[in-house]
Amino acid sequence: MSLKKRDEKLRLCSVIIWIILGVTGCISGTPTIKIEQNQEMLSFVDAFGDEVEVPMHPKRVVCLYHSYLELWDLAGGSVVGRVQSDQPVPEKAQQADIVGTTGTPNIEKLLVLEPDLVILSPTMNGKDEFVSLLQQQNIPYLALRYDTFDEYLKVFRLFTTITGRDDLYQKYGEEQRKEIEKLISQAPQDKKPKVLLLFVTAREVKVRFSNSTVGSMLEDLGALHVAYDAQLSQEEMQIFSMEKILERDPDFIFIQTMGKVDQVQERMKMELETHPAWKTLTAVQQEKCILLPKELYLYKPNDRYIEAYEGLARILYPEVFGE
Amino acid sequence: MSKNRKKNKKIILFVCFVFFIASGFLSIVQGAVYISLKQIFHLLLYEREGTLHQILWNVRIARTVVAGLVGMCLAVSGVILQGIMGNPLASPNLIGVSSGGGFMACMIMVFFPEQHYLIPAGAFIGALTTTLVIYFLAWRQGIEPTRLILAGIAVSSFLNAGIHACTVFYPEKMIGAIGFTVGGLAARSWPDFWMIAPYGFLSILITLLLPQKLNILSLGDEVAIGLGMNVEKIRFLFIVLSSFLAASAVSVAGLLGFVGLLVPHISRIFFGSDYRYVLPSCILLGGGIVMLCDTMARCLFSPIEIPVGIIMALLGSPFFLYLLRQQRKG
Repeated sequence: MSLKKRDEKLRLCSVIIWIILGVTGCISGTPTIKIEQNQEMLSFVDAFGDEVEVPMHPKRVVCLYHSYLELWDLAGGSVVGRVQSDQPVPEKAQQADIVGTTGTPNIEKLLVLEPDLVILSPTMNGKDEFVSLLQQQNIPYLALRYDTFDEYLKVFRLFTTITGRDDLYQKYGEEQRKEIEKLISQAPQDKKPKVLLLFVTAREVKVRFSNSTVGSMLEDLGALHVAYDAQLSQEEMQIFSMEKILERDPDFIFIQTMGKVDQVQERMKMELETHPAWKTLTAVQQEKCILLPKELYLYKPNDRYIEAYEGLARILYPEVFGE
Repeated sequence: MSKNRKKNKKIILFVCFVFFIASGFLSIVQGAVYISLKQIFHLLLYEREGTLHQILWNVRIARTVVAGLVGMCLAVSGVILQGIMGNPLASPNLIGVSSGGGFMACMIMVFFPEQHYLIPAGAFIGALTTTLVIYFLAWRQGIEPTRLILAGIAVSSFLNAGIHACTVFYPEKMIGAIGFTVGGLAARSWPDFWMIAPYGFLSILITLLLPQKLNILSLGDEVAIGLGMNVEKIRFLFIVLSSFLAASAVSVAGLLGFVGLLVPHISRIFFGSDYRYVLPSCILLGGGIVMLCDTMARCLFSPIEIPVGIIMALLGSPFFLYLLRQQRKG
């Protein structure tokens, strides 16, 4: 077989794998919000890229994605239906009917509530079937996604426009923005600490990029992600080469986990310190592996963005922000 | 004629050995960080410190060794099962190793997420227990292969339903489950190797001492009994061995289904049904294929790694179909 032919075959294999990875990587997208408003309806482009219309001041809202319930509550909205979750539920939403879980909402329970707006996530399971069903029933829906602080501001702007609570946008949006900008301006510009942001699950360790919530905060604060070259498209995390981690030797390792942080901490520390490869890293030896608290860094910080930024700034630059 | 055939088989076995060594060599030479051949020798022999030594010894070589051992275990487990069941579709999945290991891993993820370090041990115990449950469910004055296969399918379906139920009810806790079901070797190192090495090597060694028993068993129960073999005892021993092998592999690498099913067939295409050759060739091919595919998983999109299970299914299945076509033509 000629070398050229073999190269072509190799390229074909690579293309096939790229396509598969590309398709899985394209599922998520950042929101493009273009708001057009009349007195009763608000139209905007949602996370699917569709132009949708939702009513202003909806009375019967059902939220199918728990992370957005808190934001909707913060924007002064109330709900008649929500999904079950083991995360804290806002006080106003505690009496709302439960319409199943995020993965499997119950369509009958949803319809019986006669919602005038359904809030869902573009990444939740079974969203396609759900969206087409809502379209058939002429129920307005809102599918948005936010990860970075800028995206949070955009989505919060939209939520507060729908609820007509600009005062809340000023309080939890604008004021936070000003404080965070001040904080970022205080961060040393020349230090550029190398950071590795890990998402640890039961079976694998993945790196998170600068388009994730914590990743973007670290980047805003002037940190340099050691996995800067590992992103294929818009995905938030990937399995990253252990060899590269050793070669680039990060100054800080930030760890996100689904488990209970205080219970995992000791174990994680021991695992890192005894693992033949991990224990050689500077961050492990100098005890600069930080297990991030869930409420601020795994779930969306929303009204606590300043606190979240401050926490990271203190770790990265204790000489400026104090321990 | 027979002498010639024997010689040919030995040559093919030698080729398998060369493939195994070449895969291991490639896996050590290639990686996300470039290390030249000269440096590799230097790092192994003289420079026992520094980042490059750590990368080579604790990341690359450790992972290569784990990959090789996982491949060997799965392939031998598969060949044993196909032999004693007399069924070409038998694989470690069939005796509940995948579903048992997977189910136990899910239970730990859902109910004890803080104790996630128990998953390898849990998967191992789950796999082994399920095998034994299937064996005793299928027992009726002895084991008949078809009944064992059917019991395996039923128990596996039951446990798989449990796994799917977990993903429906606890989607947020099952994020890591995808990595487990595809199978991958990312970040595996010496502790993983030492965890499975005793079970793996011991089981392989015992199996290698018993190729004649497998040859006799594959002739059918009646012939085997006629030759004075205690069929039930030997079959039970092989099932336990095969379960140990597959459970070791699953606990470290997740559900790499492909190796256990197809590597034995590739071996048989070359060696027919003589287990004196099929067994060692499975060890060499299984280890070689996993090491080779894992090298691709690490290097194709470096510094990103993709689960080795994806590479094996993408490249292995077409290659196997090609071999089948060639065999038919021959």
